[in-house]
Order: sequence, then C-alpha cells, then structure tokens
Amino acid sequence: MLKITDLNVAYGEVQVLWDVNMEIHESEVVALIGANGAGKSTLLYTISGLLKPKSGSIQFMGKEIAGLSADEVLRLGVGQVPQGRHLFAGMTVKENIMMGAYLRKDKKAVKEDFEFVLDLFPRMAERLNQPAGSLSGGEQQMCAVARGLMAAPKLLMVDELSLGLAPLVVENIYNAVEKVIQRGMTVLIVEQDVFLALEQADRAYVLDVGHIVMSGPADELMENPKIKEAYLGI
Amino acid sequence: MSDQKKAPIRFSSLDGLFKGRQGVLFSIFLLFILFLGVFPFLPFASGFWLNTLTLILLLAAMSIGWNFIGGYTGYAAFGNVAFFGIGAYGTGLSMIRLGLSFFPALLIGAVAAMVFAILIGLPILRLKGHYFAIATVAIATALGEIADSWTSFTGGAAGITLPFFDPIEWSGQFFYYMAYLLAIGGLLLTWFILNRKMGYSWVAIREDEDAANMMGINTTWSKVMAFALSALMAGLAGGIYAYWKTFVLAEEVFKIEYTLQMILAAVLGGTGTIFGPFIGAFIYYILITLLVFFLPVGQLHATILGAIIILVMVFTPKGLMDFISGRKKLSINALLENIRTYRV
Repeated sequence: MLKITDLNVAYGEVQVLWDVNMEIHESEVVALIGANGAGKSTLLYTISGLLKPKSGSIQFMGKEIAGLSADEVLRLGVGQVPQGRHLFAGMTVKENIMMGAYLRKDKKAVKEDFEFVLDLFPRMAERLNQPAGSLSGGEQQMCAVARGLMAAPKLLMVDELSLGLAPLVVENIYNAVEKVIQRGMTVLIVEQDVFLALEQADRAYVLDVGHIVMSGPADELMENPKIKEAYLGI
Repeated sequence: MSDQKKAPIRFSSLDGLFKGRQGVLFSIFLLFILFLGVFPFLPFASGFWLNTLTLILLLAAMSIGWNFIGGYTGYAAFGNVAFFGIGAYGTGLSMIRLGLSFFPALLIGAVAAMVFAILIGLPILRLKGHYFAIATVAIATALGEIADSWTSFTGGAAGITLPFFDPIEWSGQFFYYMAYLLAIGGLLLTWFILNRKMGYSWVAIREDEDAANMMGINTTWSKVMAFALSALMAGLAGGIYAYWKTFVLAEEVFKIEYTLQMILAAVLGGTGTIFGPFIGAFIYYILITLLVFFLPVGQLHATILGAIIILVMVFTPKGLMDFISGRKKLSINALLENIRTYRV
C-alpha cells in the first residue's frame, strides 16, 4: 500500500533521514520506533506532504506522492494524528472533529463516522460544545484521534499518542485505536514507548539517527536482545 | 492549558439568534440598521450628519474587509489602504481616461484591487507574523510613492479631478446609500462565508496553520481569498470615496492612517466577529468626536485616543463585543483575567 524507497530528507544543510526503505501492506499495523530525534516525525511529515524529500520515492497505492502537497496526499487517503495534537484551540470539540472531514463530500458517511468516533470516545460526546483548548491533555488527544479518523483515511498515521499522558489514559486511547484496527484500517504507529507500539503492531521498523537499523515482525523484535537493552530497559 | 483559555468561536447560525440576551442585542442591531436605512429621509438628516455617517459606513465596510484577513485568518495586514488607493485611482482613472460611467469604473477599480491582492498575496502570505505585517506596510507605502510620482498616468501631485455626481442635489443621499449598501453587503458576505468551508478554513489557519494543512485545507488558496476579499471591500470603498470627493490624490488615498482606522475599528468592536468591525467603526468615530470636542487644544485628543486604545488592547483584547454580547461580565476581575489570558 505504501512503499518508500531510498528516501533522503534534509532541513536545509542538515540531513535527517538517510536512504530510508519501508513498506506497509493493506490492513497491516506497522510500528515505527526510535529514540527522540531519530527522525520519526520527519518521516511522517514527509509522507503527508508537509515536507519535501531531497531524493527518493514514496508510493501510495501505486501512485508517487513524494512532493505532492498535504491536501493532495490526504485526498488520496493518507491521514494523520500529529504529535502534540495540534487542535484548533478556539473551536469547539465538535468543530474540531468535523474539521477532519473538511475534504469529504459524502454527507451521510460523514455523519455515520461522526457517530462512530463518538462511540469510540464517549467523553467527546459530553464535551461537544466546549472549546477544545479547555480539555484536559488526555481529552485533547482523544479529540485529535477522532479528528484524524473523520478524514476516513485508508492509511492512518498516529504520532506519539502516549506523550505526556497518564498510563490509564494511554490505555484508553490505544483501546480505541485497537477498535479502529479491528475494522481493518491500515495504521502506522509512531511511538517512543516501544513496548506499547510493539504490542499493537504486526511489524516494526527501528529508526536510529536517520537510518532504519532493524525491521521485522513485532513479536520477534520484542524478543530481540538489542531492542530489549536499548529501548525496553530489561 | 487552563480552563476557558479561549472563548469558543461562534459560527453564525440562525437558530437562537432571536433568543435571550443575544436575541435582544441582535434585534437592537437590526433596528439600528433599519434606522440607518431610512436615515436620509428623516427631518433632522442634515448634510453634516449624512456626511459623517457616510464616512463611518465606509470605515465600517473597510474594517469588515480587514476582519477577513486580520480577524478570521489572523494575518496582521497593515497595508489595506493600498487597496483603498487602488480602488480610488482605478475608479477615477477609468472615469476620466476611459470615459466610463461610475458603476463600470467602480467595478474596474475593485477588480484591480482584488487582482493586486492576489498577485502580492501569493508571495507575501507565505510570510508569518511581523514579516507579513512589514511587507504589507512596505507595499502600501511604495504604491503611494508610485502614484505620487507617475505624473503622466496618475496626475502626480496635482491629483485627478472627477466629474460631479449628477443630479448634484442628491449627491449626499447617493453616496450615503452606496456606503450603506457596501457595509451591509460586507456583513452579509461575512455571514455567508462563515457558514461555508471557507470560513472554517480561515479560523483553522488562525488557530493552527500546520493543523489546517493536515486537514487538507489548501491554506495558500484560503489565505489569498481572505486577502482578496478584504481588498474587494477596501477597493469598493476607495472607488466610492473618490467619486464622492471628486478628487484623487496619492497622499490622501494612500494614507497609512486609514489602515490604522480599519484595524482600530475592528479591534474596538471585536476582531473575528461578524458585527464587531461595524460597531467598532461607530465607537471609533464617537470616541474621536468626543475627544476633539472636549479637548480642542492642540493634539491632546490624539494622545488620549492613544491611551484609550492601549487600555482597550490590554484589558479587552477581544474587543468590546465580549462585554456587549454578555459573553463576559464587565468587572475588574474579567479585565484582569483578560490580561492573564492574552499576554504573550
């Protein structure tokens, strides 16, 4: 579904990603793990069209998307929940969630999806008319996930959902992600919490200072002594 | 983030418009609009009053336009007078050089302002914050200089003289209604856009431009549209002003003060609200008039006005609409709360 070949990305002179190769198949859950500053978010931003690659190719469902603008990429079906939530603080929760469906014209399906995300996050249903800026951190993350889902993407990329949240809240949010996965959505999970990511994923890639240094089935990586030492601390 | 950090944006919807305090205010506002609509036929409508109200309505229209880019989209445009000037020159030159009558000339002036906004908007709307603000000031200033020195085309420092409105005894009423229709049209346009995706995209860009991009909003297109529509309002106002005064001079129609007035009216009334700029234009004129009346000595009124503006910016950065609409109760606490909330 998504095929990245020899991707190089740089901010001006500073190269952040080096010859990245990666593949995601339909209905697969892939984790992208790595330490702070490894280039995970840069890779997401490049896929979603917010950054332009220096060289290399990104193919989505057979179509080259490297260099397309963000709205064109989203139109093709690649959606994301950005790190740091990026909610529209002054808009209400309902407006935020509906902004996710900005490009969609199928009103009936949008309405169904809206009900689906409210089912997924009943807390959002209680707070529909509240400004998003007034929500707690966990609620904001739920709102961001709900907004991401409203785009009805074929591939959903979620970036650091667990950041700065209490374990119980994280569990709550990942339960919702699991329900989405069960519906057959293809998901790319980017996480610093390696254990959490590997638990959800079928396969995983490990990114280290801009290079993919390891990849494979998630359960194998979980047992890998190097991973255990470097990321899991056991 | 603390509770209630920002008040929710009210997207206009017609339900509830006539209910509660909001409804009372809206009804008063509608009555006021109606009153303005019949004003020229009232016995006390002297030339002085028509003149003053025409000025206020033109300011209101430009402020409504500025609100598109400055209030809703959140880009600090400090050069909207450029569009006023282009509208004035476009209309004036079309009338005297092409011999067109007023309305087609006005259309040319307004379209010229819009086209110019699109052309400069494409590059400068990529700038953010101060950089954008400075670019807009620079462009407005440069245009003024060009109009002033390009004597063969614009008449230079001698200006251009337009024909009088005919029949001249209806001139006051005619320009009053032009300004009135423009301001009301601006209000309707704001309301119309806010109920469409375009309006949501503007607010989304103001709140978080990166996120707006991720939602699939073509942010460049949205911003350029906001800029072009604000140019349309200012351009039309400029054209009407030119024919009204029957004279166009660069240093008059490219005055940077006009930009400041548009912004002040919007800020006083409330940026990012439908009625804020309209009401703000009246508040601004009343303030100015009172100050000049009570403080006829020298430039003291300008100083006091400056002080009032600073107080408004510090204590009610969202404009007086917050208190008028009852969204917040006017109290010392609310004012102090505002300082805490909006300090940088």
